Amino acid sequence: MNIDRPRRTALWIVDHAAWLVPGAERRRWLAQWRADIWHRCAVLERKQLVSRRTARAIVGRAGGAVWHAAWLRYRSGDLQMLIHDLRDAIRSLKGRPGFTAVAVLTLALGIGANSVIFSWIEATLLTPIPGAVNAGSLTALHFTTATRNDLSLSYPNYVDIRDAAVPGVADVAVFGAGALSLRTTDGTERVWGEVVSGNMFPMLGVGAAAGRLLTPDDDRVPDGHPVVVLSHGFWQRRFAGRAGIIGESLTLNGRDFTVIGVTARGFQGTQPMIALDVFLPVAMQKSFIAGDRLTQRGSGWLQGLVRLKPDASMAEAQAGLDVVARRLATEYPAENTGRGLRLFELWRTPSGGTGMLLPVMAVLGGLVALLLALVCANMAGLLLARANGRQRELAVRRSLGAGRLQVVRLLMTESIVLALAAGVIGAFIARWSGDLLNAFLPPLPIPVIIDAGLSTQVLAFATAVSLVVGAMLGLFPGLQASKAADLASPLKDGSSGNSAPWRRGRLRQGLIVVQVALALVLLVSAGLFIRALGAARTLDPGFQARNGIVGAIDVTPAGYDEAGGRQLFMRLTEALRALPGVEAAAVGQRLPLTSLESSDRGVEVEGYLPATGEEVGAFYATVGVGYFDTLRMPLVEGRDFTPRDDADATPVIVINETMARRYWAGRSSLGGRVKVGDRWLEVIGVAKDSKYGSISESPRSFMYLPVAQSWRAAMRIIVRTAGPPEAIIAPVRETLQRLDPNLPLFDVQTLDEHIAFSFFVFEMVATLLGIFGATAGLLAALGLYGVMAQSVILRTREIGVRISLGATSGQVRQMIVGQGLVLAVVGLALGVLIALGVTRLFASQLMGVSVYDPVSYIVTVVLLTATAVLACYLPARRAARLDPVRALRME
Amino acid sequence: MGSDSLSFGTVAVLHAVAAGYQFGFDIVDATGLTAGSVYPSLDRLEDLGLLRSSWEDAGSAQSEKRPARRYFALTGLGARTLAEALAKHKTLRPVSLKAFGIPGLWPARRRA
Repeated sequence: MNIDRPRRTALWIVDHAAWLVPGAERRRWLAQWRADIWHRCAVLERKQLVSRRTARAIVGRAGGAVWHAAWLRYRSGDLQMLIHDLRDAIRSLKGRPGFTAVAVLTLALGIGANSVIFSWIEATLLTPIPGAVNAGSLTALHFTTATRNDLSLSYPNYVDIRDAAVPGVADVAVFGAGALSLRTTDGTERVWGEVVSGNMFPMLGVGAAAGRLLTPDDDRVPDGHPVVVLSHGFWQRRFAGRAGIIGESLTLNGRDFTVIGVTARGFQGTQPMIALDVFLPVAMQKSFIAGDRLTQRGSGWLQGLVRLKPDASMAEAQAGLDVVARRLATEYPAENTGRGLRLFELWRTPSGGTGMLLPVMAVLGGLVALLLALVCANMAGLLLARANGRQRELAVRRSLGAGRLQVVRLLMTESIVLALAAGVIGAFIARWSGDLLNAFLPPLPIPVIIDAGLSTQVLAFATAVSLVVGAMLGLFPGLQASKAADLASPLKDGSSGNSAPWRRGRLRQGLIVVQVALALVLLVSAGLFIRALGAARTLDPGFQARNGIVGAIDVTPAGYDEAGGRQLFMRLTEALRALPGVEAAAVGQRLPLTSLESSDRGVEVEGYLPATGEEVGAFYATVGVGYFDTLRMPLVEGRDFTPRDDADATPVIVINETMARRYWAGRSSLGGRVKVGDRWLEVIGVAKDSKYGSISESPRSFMYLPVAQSWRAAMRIIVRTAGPPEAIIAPVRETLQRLDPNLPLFDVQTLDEHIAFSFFVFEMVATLLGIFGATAGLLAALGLYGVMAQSVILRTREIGVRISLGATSGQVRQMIVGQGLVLAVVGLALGVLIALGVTRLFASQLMGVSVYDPVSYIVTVVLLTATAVLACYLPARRAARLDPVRALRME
Repeated sequence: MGSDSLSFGTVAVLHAVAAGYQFGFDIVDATGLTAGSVYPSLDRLEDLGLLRSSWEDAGSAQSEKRPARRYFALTGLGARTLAEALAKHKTLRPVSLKAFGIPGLWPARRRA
């Protein structure tokens, strides 16, 4: 144990606490504290008493210095002044409850919206692996090719990367997530888990809540050491936190695993937002997914995490990994040619939920910042108006000896109090919004948990935003109102500032223009997303089936081999087709619009000569007979699979239009051959293109392999019905039970629910932006109303003169509305210019809609103009009804 | 300055100085109070004239290559106030105030 670090920490605290100490005492104070700390450290060192405890005590003492400094400051009277200011500000705000309520609520909207989005960003992107120690030095590792940067690692490649001494890299660990079936007393239950390399938990620094976690020693013997670690959540939920679970065995995918421990509370797996139940060593892969993946260098299925050495930069580690990638390509050209290794900050990981949410959160974050800017402009206008109205009070204060600084301080304190009150409300809004975010999540086949809400970071964020906004808002009108020139006039002329009302109003008018412009930007953005949502709904996902259900089964845990499994799939499909109300049924590895899981592989196409560096590959799914008919996915050419396409027949394949166009340009692909793995498959049909991952994806090459020739144990059952699909769920379950009571059906959804998932991100963004946009429009309208109403009051005399000189009430109304509309139009024009620039930043998020979409712009402009007319009309009407005699008499 | 207005913590600080603990950290150790309360107490006691503070001789400190520390000592007023306070706070250990011309029996003996 070295004393240097605690000494440095303690001195750092003292040095920084020193600014709290009043200037006159600061030097002496600093000398006293530094000498005391210095001396104590020297004594500890000399007597060899340096330990973790004494080191902590030193830092604790330095904490006392902060109190000491604060006490000195308090004694000097400044704090009392601050408290006095605060009391003054609160009293003054209490005296105007209407103003205070409007101001606090307005600010709360802006600060709340920002806190909400920040809490979501914090929960999803900033804490990607909750529970990991020093997450800042963790990065994600992917293989890359010329066109992709999100490829997984194969186990042999991982071992080589791990064992290479890469400069800057402390350790490399891998994981692969998936579903397992857990045998329970009354059947099976689906659980979610990961295989992790033995060094994963030590590398992350995750602790155990009970027992012990996996170590490299648990991960040495392939398929020989069945142990499992439970997540804290699963332990609590499934086993009620029973300590005796350690040492018991769980049957996962038909194999007995010994429970050795439980992860610390908070840790839920190595992927953001996905809460897992169990963790197995990678060496137990065969019990996790089919095939022997530990020896196949070409089979990428693992995600890499890299812990950087302390003080090492990502660039340094990346340079080292580049060398490793080149070496791997030379040593194993068949699998690794053209592949690179690339590190990503965790929040930028291109795969999984992070890759999906990052662009969305960026759009939301940017737009709420605009909303806050609008709120600030609105509040600035409000505070300016209030400062103008208070000129007499402020002048009295100044003539009684208050300095300019004091007046500024008073106004700043007021606005900071307002902003902090708003910040409290905003933080509460953020707390509730955590549930809101989860409410947007549709029923998902994976355990997504987003732990958004009121964390320390969110509170700190809300406070910081409140302070900055409050200080800014107060400084502005404070300086204006405290100008020396204004000192005398308000006292003399009785009324509340009659001089050059329009000149003083110029600033407020500018603020209105800004508000209208920002409101337009927000509303146009909302409009674009709503239009995109509408467009996405009408996009053809490539299959017409809507009434139906889908569920997942996995036959491996129930003890089926390949031949038995094929038999079962066939009998099951037939039994399902025989059910009343069922139009068609089939099995298939996945449906279209299944995001978060996709497989692609390199293939060879007979007669197609790839350009240098071109990857020839396609996404794929294994399907049973009747798949295309069940989903109503038309075949544009050739034929469907039939029961005759079995293991003994010629290997066949159905491809999609994009693949046919790409590799058989201008020719018929029927009869063409594709090499998948080590087999040549003959193309027998071409299916219509479909949206495989998300509704927004660009067309991709896709191939369908028959399950009879290309075995797969985990499949989905798809049943199309004539009537409402919910009614068929129970009969389908019964059918499956009759065939094999050990086969559970997981994740049952209607096709509608399945499709809905692909819209949820859109729906969320569109809904939120709609709310933000409406808020923005309303605020701008209120701001405009406020300016026009005040202008009418300030111009009472002028309007009175006009009326007495013969102006009709219609003319007066027109004049006022016209003046207000000039502001609105300038704002709208400015807004259109900003929107044209801003919306381009998220053009990639909008499919089916141009960022120049005229409908969004026109609707927004019309909406805002109408709102502006209304906002101006009310004061105009009041002006038109003025009694000229009274108006002229008014001072 | 009556001892009535002094809190027990402040008396403890005064008592520690009287017992020969001169430096901030030593007084913190001796009293078992936190640094955050001892340091303000020291300043306050100095303001009240019960303690006086000085700096170690800069020359000798420099020859030992260390910064000079601020140390505290009891004043006559401090000794009298402490004597008065100790009559009340009977749990503090005896401390000699003879140097200030105060003979006596502190703390008051526990009653049987």
